[in-house]
Amino acid sequence: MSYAVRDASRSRVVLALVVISLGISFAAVLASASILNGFESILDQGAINDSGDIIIGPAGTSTALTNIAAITDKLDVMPNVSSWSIRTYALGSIHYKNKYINPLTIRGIDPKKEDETTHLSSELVSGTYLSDDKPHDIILGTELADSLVGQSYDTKRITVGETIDASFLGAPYPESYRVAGIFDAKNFVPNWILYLDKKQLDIAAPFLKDAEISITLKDTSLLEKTKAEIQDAFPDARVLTWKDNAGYVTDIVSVVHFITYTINRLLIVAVFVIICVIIFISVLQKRRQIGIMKSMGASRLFIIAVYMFETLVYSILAYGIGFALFYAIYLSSIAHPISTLIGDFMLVFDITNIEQTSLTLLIASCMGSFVPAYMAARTEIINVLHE
Amino acid sequence: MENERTLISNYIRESRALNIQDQDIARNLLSAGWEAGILEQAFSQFQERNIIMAIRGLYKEYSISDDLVIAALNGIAELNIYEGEFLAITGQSGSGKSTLLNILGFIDSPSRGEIYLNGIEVSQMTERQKTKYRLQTLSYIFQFFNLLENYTALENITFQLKLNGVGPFKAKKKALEVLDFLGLKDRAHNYPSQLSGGQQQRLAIGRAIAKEVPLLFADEPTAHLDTQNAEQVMLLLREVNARYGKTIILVTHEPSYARMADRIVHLSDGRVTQVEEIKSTQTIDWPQLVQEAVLARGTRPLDGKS
Repeated sequence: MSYAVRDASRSRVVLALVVISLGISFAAVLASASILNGFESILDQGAINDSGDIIIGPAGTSTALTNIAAITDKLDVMPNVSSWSIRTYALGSIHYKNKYINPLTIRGIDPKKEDETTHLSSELVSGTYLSDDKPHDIILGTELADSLVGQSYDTKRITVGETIDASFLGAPYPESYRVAGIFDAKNFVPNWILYLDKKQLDIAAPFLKDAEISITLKDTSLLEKTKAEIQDAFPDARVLTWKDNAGYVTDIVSVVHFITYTINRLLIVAVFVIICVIIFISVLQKRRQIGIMKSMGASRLFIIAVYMFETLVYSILAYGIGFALFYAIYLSSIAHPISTLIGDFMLVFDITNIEQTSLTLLIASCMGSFVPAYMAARTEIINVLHE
Repeated sequence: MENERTLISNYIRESRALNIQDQDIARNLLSAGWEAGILEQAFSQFQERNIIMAIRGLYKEYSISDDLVIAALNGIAELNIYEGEFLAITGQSGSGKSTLLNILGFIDSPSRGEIYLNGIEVSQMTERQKTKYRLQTLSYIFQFFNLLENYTALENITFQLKLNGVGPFKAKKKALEVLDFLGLKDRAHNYPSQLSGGQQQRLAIGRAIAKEVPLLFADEPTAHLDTQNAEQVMLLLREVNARYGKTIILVTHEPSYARMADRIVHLSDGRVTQVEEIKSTQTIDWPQLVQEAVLARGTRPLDGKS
């Protein structure tokens, strides 16, 4: 060990360059793994914000849940259910000045219950939330509000307090509604939805009344178990987790996973090659020293161990630098998240991920050093002592 | 009685290290009052000749091309190396002396032939076995010193000792003793590059003797030293042989240094052409010495034999 440390520290400039380059590679590997987690996190959170943890809907061809009171009574006594919100759906169209949007998903909610379940009020970017005593108030998602004025994504929106005309499929005539607020759910599906009081929608368009129940859990680690319990309790209903419901999230995460995984693995290969080259050069430079050590009686195992320990020295120093660099990037991403349509992107500091990545890098480093170390161990004394 | 024998043996060993002839050593001991019988027993142990290494029909050939083979060793039919002797191998450049040394030191392998170490045939050992022998049986001194550049003089010796399984504290103590013996104690914390050529070679010898192995191979250890340093190194080797009883096999092309050995093996074209005895033929004329002692003391013979 002491020989390895001495050997590694002999040329401080080389040591610094090696450790810095390895450290940057380590930081890149850690960051690439965290990028995936970051994407997963915002996509997952966007989906959860929209649907809650679990969705109960009608099974088969039914469009609405029956015996809703019995369902909610049972939900109230389930230990892992935190809150629930019944939703009514309608298809419709809205008209504002010269803009006409059709078809459009309209969601009727109990403002209080929905807020307990999906915290919709916290997503408001302007205006106020729905209230029971203002049945003709509506709130719009940002994308929908944006589309009613000018071009899409030009940041011009309908303003709070203005009135739009809405008509619902099955309703006899359009009605006027006041825009009470605009919300950003950080998810493009709810951001294209118009929300209004469920009681109002149940009257205006009862066709998809009580179409689903959104449920929030106390302990999300019991998601699948709770889903099974609910399904057992309501065999005639269709019970989905937010993951089942938001299939697009899985698709996007799969793509992002493929990209980041590829980059991550390529970086690990790069680390392997860097270590391999460093140790190989080190071995070439020290062929005579290796010959001397062997002539003194050092075994092949000893020579291999020296270079493996040397790699360990490089790796430990590089880990320090790499981790510090990654942590700086992480803190920066927390302080300045990148705002996107699907949410605010930032790196995720996941200890398990860091542990796994570090272990993978350590294995890559060891493997990278083993090949040249083995070559070093096979050095013929007779060939190098007179160099 | 045992203490007396040890005392006498040490005196003989150290006197021999100073190149004092056995006859003179015996004379000194007799005049100091030691009995001739005890002295004869003590000298006899220095004259026993146990074979430590033996060579039979040794060849080393290099294939240059399909039809061109060069023989570095062209059949050394029989050569015995005795325990505790100082053997010099000499010959012209290209005579095969370094090749022979490398083969005996497990640094190279023979093409054919047999090598016996303490009666065990060792010419076709595996790399692992060779490593074990290099560690436990022999030391090597090279003409280019071959010290560990990143280690101080002290660390060069402790590194060797640690390789041999000596604990760090014992290793340091022993290394300092060796450096003291070499006159390099004040250079203990110098790196090889900060030492002169002679000091580096002395350090290499120190590393070799610290190891406490029976065989010491020296390949032209004076080749890159000036005359004064070369002579110091040769005297040091002579002293190591006498004081520590190590078998030394020295390769040199310098006849005067070869003559400091007990025997000289002359090589030419990869063959042994002559084995010259230098010191092992020393005989002690005990009756004459005892008589001298009696006359000097003016009293009866010390052991009653003369």
